[in-house]
Amino acid sequence: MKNRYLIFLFIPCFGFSQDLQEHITNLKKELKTKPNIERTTQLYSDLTWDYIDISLDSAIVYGEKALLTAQKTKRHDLISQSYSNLGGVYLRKENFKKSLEYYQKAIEIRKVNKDFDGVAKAKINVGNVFASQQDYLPATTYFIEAIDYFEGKNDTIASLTKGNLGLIFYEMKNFSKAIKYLEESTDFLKRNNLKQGLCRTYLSLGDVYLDKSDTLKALNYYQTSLENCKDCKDNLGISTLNQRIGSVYAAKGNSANAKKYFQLSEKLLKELNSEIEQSNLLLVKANEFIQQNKFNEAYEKLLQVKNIHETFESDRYLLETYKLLTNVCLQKAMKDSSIFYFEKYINLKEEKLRKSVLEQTSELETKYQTAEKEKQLLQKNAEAKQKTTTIIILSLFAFFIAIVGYLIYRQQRLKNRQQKQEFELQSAIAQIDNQNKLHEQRLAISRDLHDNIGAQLTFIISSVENLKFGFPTIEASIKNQLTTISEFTKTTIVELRDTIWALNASGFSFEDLSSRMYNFIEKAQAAKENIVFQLKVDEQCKTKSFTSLEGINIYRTIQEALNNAIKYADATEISIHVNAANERVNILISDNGKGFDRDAIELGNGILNMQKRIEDIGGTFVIHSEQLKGTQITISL
Amino acid sequence: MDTIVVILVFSLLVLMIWLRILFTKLKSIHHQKMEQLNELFSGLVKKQEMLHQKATISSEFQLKYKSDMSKLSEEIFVLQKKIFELITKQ
Repeated sequence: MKNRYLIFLFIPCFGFSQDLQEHITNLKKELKTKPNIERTTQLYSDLTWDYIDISLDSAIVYGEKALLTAQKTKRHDLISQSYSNLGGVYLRKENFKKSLEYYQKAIEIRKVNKDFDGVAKAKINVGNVFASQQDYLPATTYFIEAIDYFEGKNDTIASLTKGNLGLIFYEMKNFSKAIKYLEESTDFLKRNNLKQGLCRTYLSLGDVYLDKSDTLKALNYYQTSLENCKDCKDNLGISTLNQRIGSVYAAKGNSANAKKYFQLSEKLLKELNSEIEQSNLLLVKANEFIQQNKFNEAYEKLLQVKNIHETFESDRYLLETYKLLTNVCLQKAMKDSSIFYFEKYINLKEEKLRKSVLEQTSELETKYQTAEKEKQLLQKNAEAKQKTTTIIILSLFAFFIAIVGYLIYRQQRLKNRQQKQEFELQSAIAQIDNQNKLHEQRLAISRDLHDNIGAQLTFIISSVENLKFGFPTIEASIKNQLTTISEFTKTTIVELRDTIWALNASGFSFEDLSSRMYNFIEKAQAAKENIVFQLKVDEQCKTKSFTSLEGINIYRTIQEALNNAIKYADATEISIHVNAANERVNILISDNGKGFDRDAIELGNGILNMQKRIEDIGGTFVIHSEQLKGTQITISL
Repeated sequence: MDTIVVILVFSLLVLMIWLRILFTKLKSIHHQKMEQLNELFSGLVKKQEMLHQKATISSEFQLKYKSDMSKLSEEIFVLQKKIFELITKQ
């Protein structure tokens, strides 16, 4: 039995030309020099692959050491390579589960680090694991994925993988497809003169044709493969091919040639010091002896094979060896031995089956538990997620509702405040309106009263004038008294008219005031013809407006000042000058009368009243007078 | 569930925006109303001031008139006295 799939396994290979033991010794020597951690990892990896043909346990030990040191370097390429190496060793040990596990780890690391070349190479190795388990569907899938990836990028690897695919079809006895893929691979390797690869593809093609019982073609391919192996000094390949050629000659009945090739193969294997390969040769020879009914020779060879495989614990080869030993012992009439080996065969098979069942059961249980745990984990995650989502949603709602609540509250507060302000203002308006109405009513009554007063005063004047007219001979003192009463009443009527004038107007300008002043001056002029009156109002003051109170107070003050000048100062010139300066209105009333000394005389009610009137409307009143120099009154508003 | 949550959140957002707009609108309406009321108030205050001034003028005149009437009564009394003296002489 041959392990065909390892032919294209992607392993760091230094070639078979160098003696393994020598190489191992060199590596160990270098290790003793304590090189850096990366180099140490590389040395352990090389040792792993050297020991794979000598001692699988040692290979595993070095593989694990390589992994440990690689993990210390924290270099993902070295770590993934170490996992891949271990996968290869376990594949050789036929521990497919562990092999697959290590290869998958290598794939994961390479995927994380985006080492897609490495991923594709590891996929070929995983395909080999499945192929070794005779699980051809996933093996084919992995190989095709790898071919798709490498085609155009690395045609050598693609071509070698096609060779692997060909071997799968060979195992499935689909010879035409097997030959197609192997020939495609061979063509590429031939074009690129890759002899190492050609060794293996020609060997595989020979195997296919041998199975097809086309010994001629098989021999032809084996010979071509042998030439290539010789060219690249692949001693293991040469040994294998000698063994195959020997088998073909043996099948053809050419024992001499067969023996010659077997001996060559044996010699090379001894040189290589690979017990496993030697055992393969011994097994082939044992089969030959059985076919030739040479059971004693076959028995001897089989015992050697048994010892080797018991050492290597290679169950697959052991089973075949026990089976052959059972048959050989039976032929040799060694019934007890035959039973012994048969029992061994049965026990080993049962153990293997039990192991397989246990492994499968354990695997299923692990899968179930993992699935259960995953389910629980998913459930917990989903619950946690749902809780978080619910909390977030509730928080969000609470937040929005709080904002909306605050907005409504603020709005209501604003409304209340606005209503309060409006109500207060409306109340004030209503109150002031009522007060105004009351004032208006009072003023209306006052107006009626003034009308009555006017009528009564007119009646008094008329009665006095009638008396004077009706009694012309009346005594002079009575006549004077009547004149006094008439004049007094007339003055009161003038005051009433002035008051009504002020009450009827809502405001005055200096122009209004001037025309009123002119009327007054005209009457005064009529009474005192010797006095020259002068009234001068600047243009810019004419438009200046006053309230009725301001107007009547200014008018009365000027009136009083003129009356004083006419009555007491004996003035011949009286002037009134209104001008504007510094945003204020100044009224200057001056006369050329006899004047008075302010310190010598006591001021009468007239002057004090004038001062009060002006101060009441926010103005200033200044009076200046000197004996014989007239009087000047300045009103500033 | 998701749709309902989205609709509710969207509705609350719309409500918030609507409340905000309403708030601004209320403020603006109140401001306008207060301006009108203040104008009315200041107009009434001016009117009151004017009426008050007129009342002052009127009351001042009435005081003066009272005093004038008292003086007139005194003059009429003197006149009556003179007439009685004349009648007594005759």
